[in-house]
Amino acid sequence: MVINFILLILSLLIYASLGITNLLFILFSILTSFFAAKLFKSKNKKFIFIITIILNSLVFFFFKFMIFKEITSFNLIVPLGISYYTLQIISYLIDVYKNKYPAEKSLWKYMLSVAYLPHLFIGPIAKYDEIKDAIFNNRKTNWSNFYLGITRVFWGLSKKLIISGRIAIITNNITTNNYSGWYILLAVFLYSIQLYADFSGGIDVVLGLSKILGIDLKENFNSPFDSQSVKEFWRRWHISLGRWLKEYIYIPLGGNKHGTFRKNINLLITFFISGLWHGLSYLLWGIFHGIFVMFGEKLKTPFQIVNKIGTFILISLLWCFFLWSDPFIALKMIGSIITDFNLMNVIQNIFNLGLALSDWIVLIIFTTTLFIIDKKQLLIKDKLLKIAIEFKLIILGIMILFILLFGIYGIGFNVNEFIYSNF
Amino acid sequence: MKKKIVLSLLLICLCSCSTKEEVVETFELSYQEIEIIPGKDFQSSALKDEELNFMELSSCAFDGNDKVYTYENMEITVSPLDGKDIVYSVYFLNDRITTKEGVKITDDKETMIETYGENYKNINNKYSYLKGDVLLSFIIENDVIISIEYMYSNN
Amino acid sequence: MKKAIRISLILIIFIGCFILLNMLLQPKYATSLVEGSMIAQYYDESKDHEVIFIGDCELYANFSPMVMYESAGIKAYVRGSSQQMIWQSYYILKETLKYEKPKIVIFNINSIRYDKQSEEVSEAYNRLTIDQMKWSQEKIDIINDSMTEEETFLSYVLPILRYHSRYDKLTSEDFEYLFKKKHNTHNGFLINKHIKGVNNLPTPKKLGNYEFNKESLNYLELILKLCEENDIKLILVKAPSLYPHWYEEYEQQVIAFAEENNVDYYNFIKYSEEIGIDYTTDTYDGGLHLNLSGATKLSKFFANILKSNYDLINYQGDPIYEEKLKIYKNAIK
Repeated sequence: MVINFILLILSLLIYASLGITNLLFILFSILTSFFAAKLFKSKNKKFIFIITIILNSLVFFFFKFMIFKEITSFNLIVPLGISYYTLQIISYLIDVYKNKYPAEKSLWKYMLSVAYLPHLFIGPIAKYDEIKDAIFNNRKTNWSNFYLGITRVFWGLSKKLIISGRIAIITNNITTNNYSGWYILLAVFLYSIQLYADFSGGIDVVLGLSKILGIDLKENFNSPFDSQSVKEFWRRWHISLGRWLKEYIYIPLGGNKHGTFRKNINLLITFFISGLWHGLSYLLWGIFHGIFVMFGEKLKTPFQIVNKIGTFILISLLWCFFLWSDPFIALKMIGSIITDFNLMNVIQNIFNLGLALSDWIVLIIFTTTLFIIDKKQLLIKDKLLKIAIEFKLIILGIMILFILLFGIYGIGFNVNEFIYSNF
Repeated sequence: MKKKIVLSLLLICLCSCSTKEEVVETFELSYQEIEIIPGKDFQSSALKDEELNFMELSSCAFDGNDKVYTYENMEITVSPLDGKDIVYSVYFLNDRITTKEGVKITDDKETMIETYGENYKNINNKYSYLKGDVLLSFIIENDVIISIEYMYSNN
Repeated sequence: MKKAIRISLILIIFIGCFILLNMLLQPKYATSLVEGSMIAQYYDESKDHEVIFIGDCELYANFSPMVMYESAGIKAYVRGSSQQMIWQSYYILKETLKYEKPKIVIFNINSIRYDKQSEEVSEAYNRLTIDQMKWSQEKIDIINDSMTEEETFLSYVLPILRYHSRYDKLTSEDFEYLFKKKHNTHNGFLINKHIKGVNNLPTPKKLGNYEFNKESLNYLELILKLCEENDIKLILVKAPSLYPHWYEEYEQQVIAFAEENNVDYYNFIKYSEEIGIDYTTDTYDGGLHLNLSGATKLSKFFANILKSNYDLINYQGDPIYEEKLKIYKNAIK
């Protein structure tokens, strides 16, 4: 009880320290949704519901698309994590409205579940009943959880600092310095791994920190590169967003109940909104994903490995919209892969792109480790708990030394924040 | 109806996506029809005939020397950056050379402001204008320009 | 119980590895960038100098204490380092005074032209001066006063945070000098026999303001105060390096300061003819530093001034210094 209270105060304080407007906007969202949900018992239920949803969505859209800046020329900084908590709040409003669970009575419990700092910036996007259970009802703090949590935090940091940081040097170089042709192919493939290491690394830190506190949050990834189609990819990548879109957009639109044509339209709208959530320049990315989810199954071959490689290539090519903020430049770059066949040039130049041979070796070793660990997650968790404390310490120590030694940080390196916390 | 929805969605999408490619502008100048842009690489051979003096400047302890090329009206300092020699600064030696916008040493402060505007930083009588990653600085004494220098500023 | 021992053992091993890694990754400045090891070489010296030089590279390249010993029996040491800024000189003097009380401190005034915003201030030079200093209050202060915006104090405490990416650049030097130091200076003087004369010099650029920065002047006053408190005679010098250009406006301010505070000041650029410096053969980099030949001429000249104008003991014949002189003579052959 006390610890939760401290958690709430700490969350709000740290959040506010990053900009006081942050706090004002999250409080606005929390208070409007909390009191609106309480009023759902009254006669004007529908009216209140719609108004609150619109109000919160408007704030989100205003910030997301810089409408504030356009109309007031007043440059407000986008509140951190607004993309994530707005979705949580909307799902809460819809769930309560549909009587899936009753409205929360305690304001401070509700506040903590939304403003819970670890998940505020990068997700996973929680559903209220689940996160409430995780924080207040199923809380288990013990040494096993502490150890699992702390190893996971360091594992997340390794992914971010050793893998993602290293690849970022190359992808930044390729995107800012007029490269074309097969350099672009190299960039999108590497970016696939970079984004995964970065985003899932961030999620590892969130889940790890929560685990230390005894809070079990839902996983957000499940070996996404094992997917055999784009459709499957969306069940393994950013799972919490996929689930949210499915439950609150796709199914309410009618899902697959009204024939193939309606289903496809619904899919397209859903992915359109997914693109919109990421930002205006990601709309094409969203639509392409929608199209590949619609028709991708038809491209499947009987060979798993072919499907996996094909899906990886497809997904990677689509990340071009993340690499170049202008979608038309992104498409132009992808086009140059076909028109500009300079594979030999890429091979000759591979060590001049920012990473020396030693860095490539480190990158390959750690990326391979990442994929192996991904596949054996459960087994590893089990083993980690069973080994003697001495080995636990050794594993932790090695992780810390590796991060210090091989991480990309400090002077000479420029590591940005987690990529996915910008959405 | 449904097709219309899809079409209009696509249209919205395409419209919202169109943004222009941005080109960063900087100060630059040309000398004997050779473009000299601070921060970009320098082809000293193109101005070989004009060259009056050349010297390499060392720095304490570290490798990588600056090179100074002296011409009749200006001095160009070239520095190594990422394996390339880039123009680091261009210093005017007299009033026989003007900036691309036509300002020269001995012009008055008013001319500078008329040409480059009020958006300068003044530190110790050195008035600097930043455009892209190039700093154009004028030193003013008694309302008269006594020094003009272009400098690459990469931060 | 046994478990507790095992756990402590593992922890100790990890801490040991961590410390070792820190030491291994830190540059040794033994055979390349030797300028980084100068400040620390002082610690192994006998601390009985009558003259201490503090300042930038214009000292360690231009003044040879062994020449001064040979010609006038002076025991001197140069605590110089590359691009040593005036605030750094202050702390290095302060640190030196903890080890010994010389009769004379000589400060090369060149660095007073810079302030903390100058583009000459850089992380790389900070590292050369500070990295190998022994931990003391002075080291803490020098770090805090020198750090550029991108630097952190912690990276001086734990060098691994700064140098971790050297893991693939380690050479045999890093292992050889893991626990020992290489002495490549002679009482702080770095021998350079290379000849590269002065052909041309860049045109001195006009400045908007020639006045020394107040903060930098304040450090000069602090240096003076420190000397006065310790009964030390402060002498200001400007070494005969030809660039960066030493403006007449600078010269006048230094003269005014010297007169006002009763400090002696020697600008050796003005004495260069008298000293006999031939700039076509006496510098190793076209005018920034003197080479061995130039430094020898300058050191003899200055030793003479010191001998005749200040109350210094003639130590000629001192067995330790005779030994040092032998090594020096060997090195300059």
